Amino acid sequence: MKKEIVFGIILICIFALTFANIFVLEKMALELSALVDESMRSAESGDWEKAEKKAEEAERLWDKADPYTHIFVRHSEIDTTTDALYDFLKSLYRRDAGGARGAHKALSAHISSIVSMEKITLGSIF
Amino acid sequence: MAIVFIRTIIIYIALILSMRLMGKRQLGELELSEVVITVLIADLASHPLQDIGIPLLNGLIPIAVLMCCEVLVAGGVMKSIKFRALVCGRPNIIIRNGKIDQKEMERCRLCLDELTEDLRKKGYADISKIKYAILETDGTLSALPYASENPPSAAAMKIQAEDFSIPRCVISDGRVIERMLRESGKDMNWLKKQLRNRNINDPREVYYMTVDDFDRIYFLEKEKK
Repeated sequence: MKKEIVFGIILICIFALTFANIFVLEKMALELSALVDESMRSAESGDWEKAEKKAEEAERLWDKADPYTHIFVRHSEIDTTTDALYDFLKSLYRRDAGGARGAHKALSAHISSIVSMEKITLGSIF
Repeated sequence: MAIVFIRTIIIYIALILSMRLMGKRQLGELELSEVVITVLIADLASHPLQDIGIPLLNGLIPIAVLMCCEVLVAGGVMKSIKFRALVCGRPNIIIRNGKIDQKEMERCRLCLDELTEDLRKKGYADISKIKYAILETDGTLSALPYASENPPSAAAMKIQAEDFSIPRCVISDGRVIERMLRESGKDMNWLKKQLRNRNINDPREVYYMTVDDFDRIYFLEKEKK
């Protein structure tokens, strides 16, 4: 019976850890989205310097999360998000408002897909 | 390449550990749940090995989860007969009093060729000599012949048969297995004495040596190279 109890506890711990992972990813995605959205708003109001600063902050945050995301997120998802982030930065450096809007949409979609992939929904299960 | 190498080592250790914890049955005849687990684990382990873009945890977590499930299911099977019947099924009597139960054959999706083949493997060519044949939950067929077809036992023939015990290997390929020596109630002094009696000075000269509960010794010296 001891063995069953131990393995039952391990199973519960793994289940709890999967929820902790969702929580960590969600928190990171929220922070990242907030920075990217603020950067886009600044770009639309013509404050390109602030937009660049916020986007670079988002880039640093994404880089900082790399050791974690590499373990828990599919590497292809990480690569596409990184590419989208650099596309957004590129548009900001070029002062291209239209390009930035498109890149921002793509980046936001990638960030939310990282979380939605891990979230427990009927759609994600089936 | 180095990543693939390291991942292979990690997955290998994880598989060995999980199979070891699941018990010996995984290696022999499998119950239904065990077959499922074994097939799943083999498949799950291969994906992160082949594709380094998939996090290793995607392979390790399912293995850990399956291992826990298997231990819990095995525990449930031990504790509850109903649960055992639910997970493993029940044994099916295929032949009853020498007569094949055709409905049961159909239910078990067992054809006559398979039945007769299994019986032949067990040494029975004539179905009428079998009182019961039972399809066990692990898929093996047990055949129980009529009493008249059973070979006579020593007790039935009133013969005084010599009892037996399992021989314990105390020297294997020159290495003394002290645990076995202790289990058989012997020590190194006894072993040295036995070797001296056989003109052996060093256990490394012995290929195989066993002793049973009746102090019967099997001894085989290493061949000279």
